[in-house]
Amino acid sequence: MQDLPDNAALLKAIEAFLQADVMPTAEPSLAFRARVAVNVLGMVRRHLEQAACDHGLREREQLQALTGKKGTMAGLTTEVCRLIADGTLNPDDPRVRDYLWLTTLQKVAVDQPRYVSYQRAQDAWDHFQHARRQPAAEE
Amino acid sequence: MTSVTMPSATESRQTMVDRLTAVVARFLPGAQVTALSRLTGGANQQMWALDAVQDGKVTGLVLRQASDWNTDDDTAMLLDNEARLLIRAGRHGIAVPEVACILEPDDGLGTGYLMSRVEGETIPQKILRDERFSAARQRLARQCGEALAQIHRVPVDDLGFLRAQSADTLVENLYTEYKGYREPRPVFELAFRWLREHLPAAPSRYSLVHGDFRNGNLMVDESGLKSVLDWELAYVGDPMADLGWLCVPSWRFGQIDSPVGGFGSLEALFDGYEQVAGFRPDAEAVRFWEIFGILKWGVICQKMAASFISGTDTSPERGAIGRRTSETEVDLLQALVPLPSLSAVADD
Repeated sequence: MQDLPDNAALLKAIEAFLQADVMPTAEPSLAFRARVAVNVLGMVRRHLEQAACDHGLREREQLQALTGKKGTMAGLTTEVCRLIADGTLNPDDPRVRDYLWLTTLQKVAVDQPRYVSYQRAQDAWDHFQHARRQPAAEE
Repeated sequence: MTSVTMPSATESRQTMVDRLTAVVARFLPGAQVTALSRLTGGANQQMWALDAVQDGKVTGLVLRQASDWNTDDDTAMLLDNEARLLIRAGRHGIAVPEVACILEPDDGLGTGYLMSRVEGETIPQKILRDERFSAARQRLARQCGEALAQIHRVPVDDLGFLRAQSADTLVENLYTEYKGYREPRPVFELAFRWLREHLPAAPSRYSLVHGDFRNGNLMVDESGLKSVLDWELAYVGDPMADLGWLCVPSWRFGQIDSPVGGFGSLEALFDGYEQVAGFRPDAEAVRFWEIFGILKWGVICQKMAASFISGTDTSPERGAIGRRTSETEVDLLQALVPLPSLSAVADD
Protein backbone atom coordinates (compact mmCIF):
# COMPACT_ATOMS: atom_id res chain seq x y z
CA MET A 1 0.00 0.00 0.00
CA GLN A 2 1.47 3.30 -1.08
CA ASP A 3 1.12 6.49 0.90
CA LEU A 4 -1.18 9.31 -0.11
CA PRO A 5 -1.65 11.21 -2.38
CA ASP A 6 -2.56 8.36 -4.69
CA ASN A 7 -1.42 7.96 -8.30
CA ALA A 8 -4.61 9.34 -9.80
CA ALA A 9 -4.37 12.50 -7.72
CA LEU A 10 -0.74 13.03 -8.76
CA LEU A 11 -1.61 12.62 -12.42
CA LYS A 12 -4.51 15.01 -12.05
CA ALA A 13 -2.12 17.60 -10.61
CA ILE A 14 0.17 17.31 -13.66
CA GLU A 15 -2.81 17.56 -16.00
CA ALA A 16 -3.88 20.77 -14.24
CA PHE A 17 -0.34 22.16 -14.38
CA LEU A 18 -0.12 21.58 -18.14
CA GLN A 19 -3.57 23.08 -18.71
CA ALA A 20 -3.21 26.12 -16.46
CA ASP A 21 0.48 27.00 -16.78
CA VAL A 22 1.88 25.52 -19.99
CA MET A 23 -0.88 25.61 -22.59
CA PRO A 24 -1.85 29.29 -22.28
CA THR A 25 1.74 30.53 -22.57
CA ALA A 26 3.16 28.10 -25.16
CA GLU A 27 3.34 28.75 -28.89
CA PRO A 28 0.59 26.95 -30.84
CA SER A 29 2.40 23.76 -31.80
CA LEU A 30 3.77 23.26 -28.26
CA ALA A 31 0.34 24.05 -26.80
CA PHE A 32 -1.14 21.37 -29.05
CA ARG A 33 1.40 18.80 -27.89
CA ALA A 34 0.76 19.78 -24.28
CA ARG A 35 -2.95 19.19 -24.85
CA VAL A 36 -2.19 15.74 -26.28
CA ALA A 37 -0.07 15.06 -23.19
CA VAL A 38 -3.01 16.07 -20.93
CA ASN A 39 -5.23 13.65 -22.83
CA VAL A 40 -2.75 10.81 -22.45
CA LEU A 41 -2.34 11.45 -18.73
CA GLY A 42 -6.13 11.43 -18.39
CA MET A 43 -6.24 8.06 -20.15
CA VAL A 44 -3.71 6.56 -17.73
CA ARG A 45 -5.45 8.11 -14.71
CA ARG A 46 -8.85 6.73 -15.71
CA HIS A 47 -7.36 3.29 -16.15
CA LEU A 48 -5.86 3.43 -12.66
CA GLU A 49 -9.21 4.54 -11.25
CA GLN A 50 -11.04 1.77 -13.12
CA ALA A 51 -8.54 -0.89 -12.03
CA ALA A 52 -9.24 0.09 -8.43
CA CYS A 53 -12.86 -1.02 -9.00
CA ASP A 54 -11.93 -4.65 -9.88
CA HIS A 55 -13.62 -4.67 -13.29
CA GLY A 56 -10.84 -7.02 -14.37
CA LEU A 57 -12.28 -9.73 -12.16
CA ARG A 58 -15.57 -9.63 -14.06
CA GLU A 59 -13.78 -9.88 -17.41
CA ARG A 60 -11.76 -12.87 -16.20
CA GLU A 61 -14.93 -14.64 -15.05
CA GLN A 62 -16.56 -14.01 -18.42
CA LEU A 63 -13.52 -15.31 -20.26
CA GLN A 64 -13.43 -18.48 -18.17
CA ALA A 65 -17.15 -19.06 -18.72
CA LEU A 66 -16.87 -18.57 -22.49
CA THR A 67 -13.78 -20.73 -22.98
CA GLY A 68 -14.27 -23.27 -20.18
CA LYS A 69 -10.58 -22.79 -19.42
CA LYS A 70 -8.30 -21.05 -16.96
CA GLY A 71 -5.32 -18.95 -17.88
CA THR A 72 -3.99 -15.46 -18.31
CA MET A 73 -6.26 -12.70 -19.61
CA ALA A 74 -4.23 -12.54 -22.84
CA GLY A 75 -4.33 -16.31 -23.29
CA LEU A 76 -8.06 -16.55 -22.67
CA THR A 77 -8.75 -13.57 -24.95
CA THR A 78 -6.77 -15.27 -27.72
CA GLU A 79 -8.88 -18.37 -27.18
CA VAL A 80 -12.10 -16.33 -27.43
CA CYS A 81 -10.78 -14.88 -30.70
CA ARG A 82 -10.26 -18.40 -32.03
CA LEU A 83 -13.76 -19.48 -31.00
CA ILE A 84 -15.33 -16.40 -32.63
CA ALA A 85 -13.29 -16.87 -35.83
CA ASP A 86 -14.39 -20.52 -36.21
CA GLY A 87 -18.02 -19.73 -35.37
CA THR A 88 -18.21 -21.65 -32.08
CA LEU A 89 -19.05 -18.41 -30.30
CA ASN A 90 -21.39 -15.89 -31.85
CA PRO A 91 -23.12 -12.77 -30.55
CA ASP A 92 -26.59 -14.35 -30.67
CA ASP A 93 -25.43 -15.90 -27.40
CA PRO A 94 -26.20 -13.27 -24.71
CA ARG A 95 -23.01 -14.23 -22.82
CA VAL A 96 -20.90 -13.41 -25.89
CA ARG A 97 -22.84 -10.21 -26.51
CA ASP A 98 -22.42 -9.09 -22.90
CA TYR A 99 -18.70 -9.92 -22.87
CA LEU A 100 -18.05 -7.96 -26.08
CA TRP A 101 -20.03 -4.92 -24.96
CA LEU A 102 -18.75 -4.77 -21.39
CA THR A 103 -15.07 -5.11 -22.27
CA THR A 104 -15.37 -2.60 -25.10
CA LEU A 105 -17.27 -0.01 -23.06
CA GLN A 106 -14.71 -0.30 -20.26
CA LYS A 107 -11.84 0.27 -22.67
CA VAL A 108 -13.36 3.35 -24.29
CA ALA A 109 -14.35 4.75 -20.89
CA VAL A 110 -10.60 4.90 -20.30
CA ASP A 111 -9.39 5.77 -23.80
CA GLN A 112 -11.95 8.32 -24.98
CA PRO A 113 -14.90 8.96 -22.64
CA ARG A 114 -16.05 11.89 -24.82
CA TYR A 115 -16.36 9.83 -28.01
CA VAL A 116 -20.02 10.43 -28.89
CA SER A 117 -20.73 6.88 -30.15
CA TYR A 118 -19.37 5.59 -26.85
CA GLN A 119 -21.52 7.93 -24.76
CA ARG A 120 -24.61 6.86 -26.63
CA ALA A 121 -23.69 3.19 -26.41
CA GLN A 122 -23.01 3.48 -22.68
CA ASP A 123 -26.44 5.05 -22.16
CA ALA A 124 -28.05 2.30 -24.20
CA TRP A 125 -26.18 -0.34 -22.22
CA ASP A 126 -27.26 1.22 -18.92
CA HIS A 127 -30.88 1.24 -20.09
CA PHE A 128 -30.52 -2.33 -21.24
CA GLN A 129 -29.19 -3.42 -17.85
CA HIS A 130 -32.02 -1.58 -16.14
CA ALA A 131 -34.60 -3.22 -18.40
CA ARG A 132 -33.06 -6.63 -17.75
CA ARG A 133 -33.47 -6.24 -14.02
CA GLN A 134 -37.22 -5.83 -14.59
CA PRO A 135 -38.36 -9.17 -16.04
CA ALA A 136 -41.45 -7.66 -17.73
CA ALA A 137 -39.22 -5.49 -19.90
CA GLU A 138 -37.05 -8.38 -21.15
CA GLU A 139 -37.43 -9.11 -24.85
CA MET B 1 -4.04 25.35 -42.55
CA THR B 2 -3.21 27.20 -39.36
CA SER B 3 -0.03 26.03 -37.70
CA VAL B 4 3.07 27.13 -39.54
CA THR B 5 6.56 26.10 -38.50
CA MET B 6 9.65 27.57 -40.04
CA PRO B 7 12.51 25.20 -40.81
CA SER B 8 14.98 25.31 -37.97
CA ALA B 9 18.22 25.47 -39.96
CA THR B 10 18.38 28.67 -42.04
CA GLU B 11 21.13 27.19 -44.20
CA SER B 12 19.08 24.24 -45.34
CA ARG B 13 16.19 26.62 -45.85
CA GLN B 14 18.25 28.76 -48.23
CA THR B 15 19.33 25.64 -50.13
CA MET B 16 15.71 24.63 -50.43
CA VAL B 17 14.69 28.09 -51.68
CA ASP B 18 17.49 27.96 -54.30
CA ARG B 19 16.43 24.54 -55.51
CA LEU B 20 12.76 25.53 -55.59
CA THR B 21 13.65 28.66 -57.58
CA ALA B 22 15.24 26.45 -60.23
CA VAL B 23 12.12 24.26 -60.38
CA VAL B 24 9.70 27.18 -60.48
CA ALA B 25 11.72 28.70 -63.37
CA ARG B 26 10.47 25.85 -65.56
CA PHE B 27 6.94 27.29 -65.60
CA LEU B 28 7.46 30.86 -64.30
CA PRO B 29 10.80 32.01 -65.75
CA GLY B 30 12.63 34.50 -63.55
CA ALA B 31 10.27 34.16 -60.59
CA GLN B 32 11.57 34.64 -57.04
CA VAL B 33 10.54 32.12 -54.38
CA THR B 34 9.43 33.81 -51.16
CA ALA B 35 7.44 33.12 -48.01
CA LEU B 36 8.43 29.45 -47.78
CA SER B 37 6.72 27.94 -44.74
CA ARG B 38 6.00 24.43 -43.61
CA LEU B 39 2.31 23.53 -43.43
CA THR B 40 2.29 19.94 -42.23
CA GLY B 41 4.71 17.13 -42.11
CA GLY B 42 6.27 14.18 -40.49
CA ALA B 43 9.67 12.63 -40.90
CA ASN B 44 9.20 11.52 -44.47
CA GLN B 45 6.35 13.52 -45.98
CA GLN B 46 5.82 17.25 -45.88
CA MET B 47 3.70 20.07 -47.26
CA TRP B 48 5.13 23.56 -47.75
CA ALA B 49 3.51 26.82 -48.83
CA LEU B 50 5.47 29.24 -50.99
CA ASP B 51 4.93 32.26 -53.20
CA ALA B 52 6.46 32.64 -56.65
CA VAL B 53 6.85 36.33 -57.49
CA GLN B 54 7.27 37.17 -61.14
CA ASP B 55 7.20 40.84 -62.28
CA GLY B 56 5.35 41.76 -59.10
CA LYS B 57 2.70 39.11 -59.65
CA VAL B 58 2.36 36.60 -56.79
CA THR B 59 1.43 32.97 -57.50
CA GLY B 60 0.58 30.89 -54.42
CA LEU B 61 1.99 27.36 -54.57
CA VAL B 62 2.12 24.28 -52.39
CA LEU B 63 4.95 21.77 -52.44
CA ARG B 64 4.04 18.18 -51.58
CA GLN B 65 7.25 16.34 -50.96
CA ALA B 66 8.49 13.00 -49.67
CA SER B 67 11.98 11.83 -48.85
CA ASP B 68 13.36 9.40 -51.40
CA TRP B 69 13.45 6.70 -48.79
CA ASN B 70 9.76 7.02 -47.97
CA THR B 71 8.67 3.41 -47.58
CA ASP B 72 6.43 3.86 -44.58
CA ASP B 73 3.31 2.57 -46.30
CA ASP B 74 3.55 0.18 -49.22
CA THR B 75 -0.08 0.80 -50.19
CA ALA B 76 0.66 4.46 -50.94
CA MET B 77 1.84 5.40 -54.39
CA LEU B 78 4.86 7.58 -55.05
CA LEU B 79 4.02 11.25 -55.02
CA ASP B 80 4.98 11.79 -58.66
CA ASN B 81 2.37 9.19 -59.56
CA GLU B 82 -0.13 10.98 -57.35
CA ALA B 83 0.57 14.10 -59.41
CA ARG B 84 -0.10 12.19 -62.66
CA LEU B 85 -3.40 10.99 -61.20
CA LEU B 86 -4.34 14.56 -60.13
CA ILE B 87 -3.69 15.79 -63.66
CA ARG B 88 -5.88 13.02 -65.06
CA ALA B 89 -8.68 13.73 -62.57
CA GLY B 90 -8.54 17.46 -63.30
CA ARG B 91 -8.88 16.81 -67.03
CA HIS B 92 -12.08 14.90 -66.32
CA GLY B 93 -13.67 17.80 -64.52
CA ILE B 94 -12.98 16.84 -60.91
CA ALA B 95 -12.12 19.70 -58.55
CA VAL B 96 -8.49 19.04 -57.62
CA PRO B 97 -5.45 21.27 -57.07
CA GLU B 98 -3.76 22.11 -60.35
CA VAL B 99 -0.35 20.45 -60.68
CA ALA B 100 2.25 23.04 -61.70
CA CYS B 101 5.30 20.81 -61.96
CA ILE B 102 6.48 17.31 -61.01
CA LEU B 103 9.88 17.16 -59.26
CA GLU B 104 12.70 15.37 -61.03
CA PRO B 105 15.53 13.48 -59.31
CA ASP B 106 18.11 16.14 -60.29
CA ASP B 107 16.08 18.82 -58.50
CA GLY B 108 17.45 17.57 -55.18
CA LEU B 109 14.10 17.89 -53.42
CA GLY B 110 13.00 14.26 -53.14
CA THR B 111 9.81 12.97 -54.75
CA GLY B 112 6.82 15.21 -55.14
CA TYR B 113 5.28 18.07 -57.02
CA LEU B 114 4.25 21.71 -56.93
CA MET B 115 0.59 22.60 -57.16
CA SER B 116 -1.54 25.71 -57.12
CA ARG B 117 -2.59 26.89 -53.66
CA VAL B 118 -6.35 26.57 -53.22
CA GLU B 119 -7.96 28.71 -50.54
CA GLY B 120 -10.35 26.81 -48.34
CA GLU B 121 -10.84 24.87 -45.14
CA THR B 122 -9.90 21.23 -44.53
CA ILE B 123 -10.17 21.00 -40.73
CA PRO B 124 -13.25 18.82 -40.12
CA GLN B 125 -14.30 20.43 -36.84
CA LYS B 126 -14.41 23.87 -38.48
CA ILE B 127 -16.29 22.58 -41.52
CA LEU B 128 -18.84 20.95 -39.21
CA ARG B 129 -19.26 23.78 -36.71
CA ASP B 130 -18.36 27.21 -38.12
CA GLU B 131 -21.35 29.39 -38.98
CA ARG B 132 -19.77 30.49 -42.27
CA PHE B 133 -20.01 26.92 -43.61
CA SER B 134 -23.68 26.42 -42.73
CA ALA B 135 -24.83 26.77 -46.35
CA ALA B 136 -21.95 24.58 -47.52
CA ARG B 137 -22.96 21.84 -45.07
CA GLN B 138 -26.43 21.72 -46.64
CA ARG B 139 -24.92 20.90 -50.04
CA LEU B 140 -21.83 18.94 -49.21
CA ALA B 141 -23.20 15.39 -49.12
CA ARG B 142 -24.82 15.80 -52.51
CA GLN B 143 -21.66 17.37 -53.93
CA CYS B 144 -19.62 14.46 -52.56
CA GLY B 145 -21.96 12.06 -54.36
CA GLU B 146 -21.51 13.96 -57.61
CA ALA B 147 -17.72 14.15 -57.23
CA LEU B 148 -17.43 10.44 -56.43
CA ALA B 149 -19.51 9.47 -59.45
CA GLN B 150 -17.19 11.63 -61.59
CA ILE B 151 -14.10 10.04 -60.04
CA HIS B 152 -15.47 6.58 -60.72
CA ARG B 153 -15.78 7.39 -64.44
CA VAL B 154 -12.19 8.54 -64.93
CA PRO B 155 -10.43 6.19 -67.39
CA VAL B 156 -7.24 4.86 -65.80
CA ASP B 157 -6.44 1.68 -67.74
CA ASP B 158 -3.13 3.19 -68.86
CA LEU B 159 -2.02 4.22 -65.34
CA GLY B 160 -0.02 1.12 -64.46
CA PHE B 161 0.84 2.24 -60.94
CA LEU B 162 -2.79 1.78 -59.83
CA ARG B 163 -3.34 -1.68 -58.40
CA ALA B 164 -6.56 -3.63 -58.87
CA GLN B 165 -7.92 -4.90 -55.55
CA SER B 166 -11.03 -7.00 -54.97
CA ALA B 167 -13.09 -6.84 -51.79
CA ASP B 168 -11.90 -10.33 -50.90
CA THR B 169 -8.22 -9.36 -51.29
CA LEU B 170 -8.65 -6.18 -49.27
CA VAL B 171 -10.32 -8.08 -46.41
CA GLU B 172 -7.66 -10.80 -46.36
CA ASN B 173 -4.79 -8.29 -46.54
CA LEU B 174 -6.29 -6.38 -43.64
CA TYR B 175 -6.67 -9.61 -41.66
CA THR B 176 -3.03 -10.49 -42.27
CA GLU B 177 -1.97 -7.05 -41.08
CA TYR B 178 -4.17 -7.29 -37.96
CA LYS B 179 -2.75 -10.72 -37.14
CA GLY B 180 0.76 -9.32 -37.56
CA TYR B 181 0.23 -6.99 -34.60
CA ARG B 182 -0.35 -10.05 -32.38
CA GLU B 183 -3.03 -8.38 -30.29
CA PRO B 184 -6.11 -10.56 -29.74
CA ARG B 185 -9.23 -8.51 -30.46
CA PRO B 186 -12.51 -10.45 -30.26
CA VAL B 187 -14.53 -7.59 -31.80
CA PHE B 188 -12.20 -7.51 -34.81
CA GLU B 189 -12.50 -11.29 -35.24
CA LEU B 190 -16.26 -10.92 -35.24
CA ALA B 191 -16.11 -8.11 -37.81
CA PHE B 192 -13.75 -10.05 -40.10
CA ARG B 193 -16.08 -13.02 -39.92
CA TRP B 194 -19.03 -10.79 -40.82
CA LEU B 195 -17.17 -9.25 -43.76
CA ARG B 196 -16.24 -12.67 -45.16
CA GLU B 197 -19.87 -13.74 -44.93
CA HIS B 198 -21.16 -10.56 -46.57
CA LEU B 199 -18.72 -9.95 -49.41
CA PRO B 200 -20.56 -7.89 -52.04
CA ALA B 201 -20.99 -9.26 -55.55
CA ALA B 202 -18.14 -8.10 -57.77
CA PRO B 203 -19.18 -4.84 -59.46
CA SER B 204 -20.01 -4.99 -63.16
CA ARG B 205 -16.98 -2.82 -63.76
CA TYR B 206 -13.95 -1.90 -61.66
CA SER B 207 -13.36 1.82 -61.28
CA LEU B 208 -10.83 4.27 -60.07
CA VAL B 209 -11.31 4.39 -56.27
CA HIS B 210 -9.97 7.49 -54.51
CA GLY B 211 -9.18 5.43 -51.42
CA ASP B 212 -9.25 8.21 -48.80
CA PHE B 213 -12.29 10.33 -49.66
CA ARG B 214 -13.41 11.58 -46.25
CA ASN B 215 -13.97 14.64 -44.10
CA GLY B 216 -10.39 15.87 -43.59
CA ASN B 217 -9.29 15.37 -47.18
CA LEU B 218 -11.98 17.63 -48.64
CA MET B 219 -11.29 21.32 -49.10
CA VAL B 220 -14.45 23.32 -48.50
CA ASP B 221 -15.42 26.96 -48.84
CA GLU B 222 -18.68 28.82 -48.23
CA SER B 223 -20.19 27.36 -51.41
CA GLY B 224 -19.30 23.76 -50.58
CA LEU B 225 -16.81 21.27 -52.00
CA LYS B 226 -13.85 23.13 -53.46
CA SER B 227 -11.17 20.50 -53.97
CA VAL B 228 -10.55 16.78 -53.42
CA LEU B 229 -7.11 16.16 -51.84
CA ASP B 230 -4.78 13.29 -50.92
CA TRP B 231 -4.97 10.80 -53.78
CA GLU B 232 -2.03 8.62 -52.81
CA LEU B 233 -4.16 5.68 -51.63
CA ALA B 234 -6.07 5.41 -54.91
CA TYR B 235 -6.52 1.99 -56.52
CA VAL B 236 -8.81 0.21 -58.96
CA GLY B 237 -11.75 -1.67 -57.44
CA ASP B 238 -15.34 -1.53 -56.23
CA PRO B 239 -16.45 2.13 -56.42
CA MET B 240 -18.81 1.66 -53.48
CA ALA B 241 -15.71 1.47 -51.25
CA ASP B 242 -15.36 5.25 -51.48
CA LEU B 243 -18.95 5.82 -50.32
CA GLY B 244 -18.56 3.48 -47.36
CA TRP B 245 -15.27 5.05 -46.23
CA LEU B 246 -16.87 8.52 -46.32
CA CYS B 247 -19.50 7.24 -43.85
CA VAL B 248 -17.15 5.74 -41.23
CA PRO B 249 -18.28 7.15 -37.83
CA SER B 250 -14.78 8.37 -36.92
CA TRP B 251 -14.98 10.86 -39.83
CA ARG B 252 -18.20 12.35 -38.41
CA PHE B 253 -16.24 14.13 -35.67
CA GLY B 254 -18.99 13.89 -33.09
CA GLN B 255 -21.93 14.61 -35.45
CA ILE B 256 -22.79 10.93 -35.47
CA ASP B 257 -26.37 11.30 -36.69
CA SER B 258 -25.18 12.66 -40.04
CA PRO B 259 -23.69 9.53 -41.58
CA VAL B 260 -21.94 11.28 -44.46
CA GLY B 261 -18.88 12.92 -42.94
CA GLY B 262 -20.91 14.39 -40.07
CA PHE B 263 -22.57 16.82 -42.50
CA GLY B 264 -25.17 14.96 -44.52
CA SER B 265 -27.56 12.12 -45.19
CA LEU B 266 -27.17 8.98 -47.25
CA GLU B 267 -30.13 10.11 -49.34
CA ALA B 268 -28.34 13.31 -50.35
CA LEU B 269 -25.12 11.40 -51.10
CA PHE B 270 -26.97 8.83 -53.20
CA ASP B 271 -29.02 11.54 -54.99
CA GLY B 272 -25.84 13.33 -56.05
CA TYR B 273 -24.22 10.09 -57.14
CA GLU B 274 -27.25 8.98 -59.13
CA GLN B 275 -27.50 12.31 -60.91
CA VAL B 276 -24.03 11.87 -62.41
CA ALA B 277 -23.64 8.09 -62.60
CA GLY B 278 -27.14 7.29 -63.82
CA PHE B 279 -27.67 4.61 -61.18
CA ARG B 280 -28.32 4.68 -57.45
CA PRO B 281 -25.67 3.18 -55.15
CA ASP B 282 -26.56 -0.13 -53.50
CA ALA B 283 -27.09 0.65 -49.80
CA GLU B 284 -26.06 -2.85 -48.72
CA ALA B 285 -22.76 -2.61 -50.59
CA VAL B 286 -22.10 0.81 -49.05
CA ARG B 287 -22.80 -0.64 -45.60
CA PHE B 288 -20.31 -3.45 -46.25
CA TRP B 289 -17.65 -0.89 -47.15
CA GLU B 290 -18.49 1.26 -44.14
CA ILE B 291 -17.94 -1.69 -41.83
CA PHE B 292 -14.76 -2.59 -43.71
CA GLY B 293 -13.74 1.06 -43.28
CA ILE B 294 -14.30 1.07 -39.52
CA LEU B 295 -12.13 -2.03 -39.26
CA LYS B 296 -9.51 -0.53 -41.55
CA TRP B 297 -9.29 2.60 -39.40
CA GLY B 298 -8.99 0.32 -36.36
CA VAL B 299 -6.06 -1.53 -37.93
CA ILE B 300 -4.44 1.79 -38.88
CA CYS B 301 -4.66 2.77 -35.19
CA GLN B 302 -3.00 -0.55 -34.31
CA LYS B 303 -0.25 0.34 -36.75
CA MET B 304 0.22 3.67 -34.94
CA ALA B 305 0.43 1.76 -31.66
CA ALA B 306 2.97 -0.62 -33.17
CA SER B 307 5.22 2.23 -34.30
CA PHE B 308 5.06 3.69 -30.78
CA ILE B 309 5.86 0.34 -29.16
CA SER B 310 8.75 -0.35 -31.56
CA GLY B 311 10.27 3.05 -30.82
CA THR B 312 9.86 4.40 -34.35
CA ASP B 313 7.73 7.27 -33.04
CA THR B 314 7.42 7.59 -29.27
CA SER B 315 5.56 10.91 -29.24
CA PRO B 316 2.53 11.06 -26.90
CA GLU B 317 0.43 11.93 -29.95
CA ARG B 318 1.37 8.68 -31.67
CA GLY B 319 0.65 6.69 -28.52
CA ALA B 320 -2.71 8.41 -28.09
CA ILE B 321 -3.78 7.62 -31.67
CA GLY B 322 -2.78 4.02 -31.00
CA ARG B 323 -5.33 3.95 -28.20
CA ARG B 324 -8.07 5.08 -30.57
CA THR B 325 -8.44 1.48 -31.77
CA SER B 326 -11.13 0.97 -29.13
CA GLU B 327 -13.38 3.64 -30.67
CA THR B 328 -13.66 1.46 -33.75
CA GLU B 329 -14.72 -1.49 -31.58
CA VAL B 330 -17.65 0.52 -30.21
CA ASP B 331 -18.66 1.46 -33.75
CA LEU B 332 -18.33 -2.13 -34.96
CA LEU B 333 -20.49 -3.41 -32.09
CA GLN B 334 -23.10 -0.71 -32.78
CA ALA B 335 -23.24 -1.93 -36.37
CA LEU B 336 -23.04 -5.71 -35.81
CA VAL B 337 -24.29 -6.46 -32.27
CA PRO B 338 -27.09 -3.98 -31.54
CA LEU B 339 -28.51 -4.30 -28.04
CA PRO B 340 -31.98 -5.89 -27.93
CA SER B 341 -33.50 -3.07 -25.93
CA LEU B 342 -32.16 -0.29 -28.14
CA SER B 343 -35.44 0.25 -29.94
CA ALA B 344 -37.35 0.32 -26.67
CA VAL B 345 -35.18 3.09 -25.24
CA ALA B 346 -34.58 5.01 -28.47
CA ASP B 347 -37.42 7.44 -27.77
CA ASP B 348 -36.10 8.63 -24.40
